[in-house]
Amino acid sequence: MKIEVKFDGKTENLDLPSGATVLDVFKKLNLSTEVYLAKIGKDIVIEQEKISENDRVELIKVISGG
Amino acid sequence: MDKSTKCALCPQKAVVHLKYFNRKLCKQHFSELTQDRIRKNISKNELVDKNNRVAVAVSGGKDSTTLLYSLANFAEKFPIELVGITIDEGIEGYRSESLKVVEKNYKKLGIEYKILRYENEVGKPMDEIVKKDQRLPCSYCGVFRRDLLNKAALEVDADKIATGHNLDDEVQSILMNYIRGDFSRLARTGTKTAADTGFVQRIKPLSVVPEKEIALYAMLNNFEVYWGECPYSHEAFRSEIRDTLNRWEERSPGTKYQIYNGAENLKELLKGAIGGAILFECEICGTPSPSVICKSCEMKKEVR
Repeated sequence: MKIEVKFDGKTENLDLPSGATVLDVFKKLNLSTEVYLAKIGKDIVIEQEKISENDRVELIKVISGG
Repeated sequence: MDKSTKCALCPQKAVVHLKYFNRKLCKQHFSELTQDRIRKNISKNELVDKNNRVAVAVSGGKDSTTLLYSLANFAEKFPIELVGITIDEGIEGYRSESLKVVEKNYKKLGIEYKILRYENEVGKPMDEIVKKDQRLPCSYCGVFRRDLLNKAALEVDADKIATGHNLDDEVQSILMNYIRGDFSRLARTGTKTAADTGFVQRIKPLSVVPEKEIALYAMLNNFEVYWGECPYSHEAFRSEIRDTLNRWEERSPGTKYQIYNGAENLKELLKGAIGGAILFECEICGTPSPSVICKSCEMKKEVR
């Protein structure tokens, strides 16, 4: 399934297997779950949340960098 | 609803998974837990006394804004008086923007406040200081900000200075002190500074809450926060420690709390072994200092 992910001021389209979760997005983008919060649409979600086709996932960096 | 995304305490959807004690919580239960942790940290460590006047150091970021709202909430049940103190370092496009947020929050909560500016107190705004580029900007800023927060707190007649340091900040400092072998500093850091240092006592009510959870709490409670980052922030060593800690926490949830609790225990042992530093009165400004001229006055000379 195809999803759109917004993070660090850019947007990427990912192809994930059906049944994929938010954690799979983190893994695919090699981002830390300690540093970003995840949203699907307007809702804050946890890593176990399943993603559906055409979902818009946003990863918000909440821990300041260097 | 999918069972794996449900709150452990009610049928609502979870907004957080606290892996270090394997608990998923909804917005309401997570907010209650966070407020409870802050309240308990204040009570257990006796961070404030009845009728204290507490100067809250607010920069407009997520941590200090959460601190301001948490203490305002605490002050509804416990008799303390709050006054905001803010330092304007003079960084165009960054502090100029966050100050708007800071003042909005002070006004919204009806809290009196004082702003001290580098331009008046140091003699130059940070934007000018960095042009000289003698040292890393954070070295100057750390010293000047600490000095000015103390000055502001004295000017508003405060008994305590509350800062927004979170669990991550504390654990990073602990590890940095271990690595540098600076056990005297390790013994001095923590949720509150000693009362007899000659400086206004500092307290850290958020020291038991992980940084990511403070960000989530601020977002869920719709606090107006300035999310920008300082353009001069280049603490390379701290950044490396932070990234390492986050990797450890991901692999082994609870690592940050373990390091924090370990250091708290060690501090008790160190207190008896390490004596206090001998302090003089700075010949220029009169603040207590380990040398005859304090670091802040020394640096002010350099940048002027």
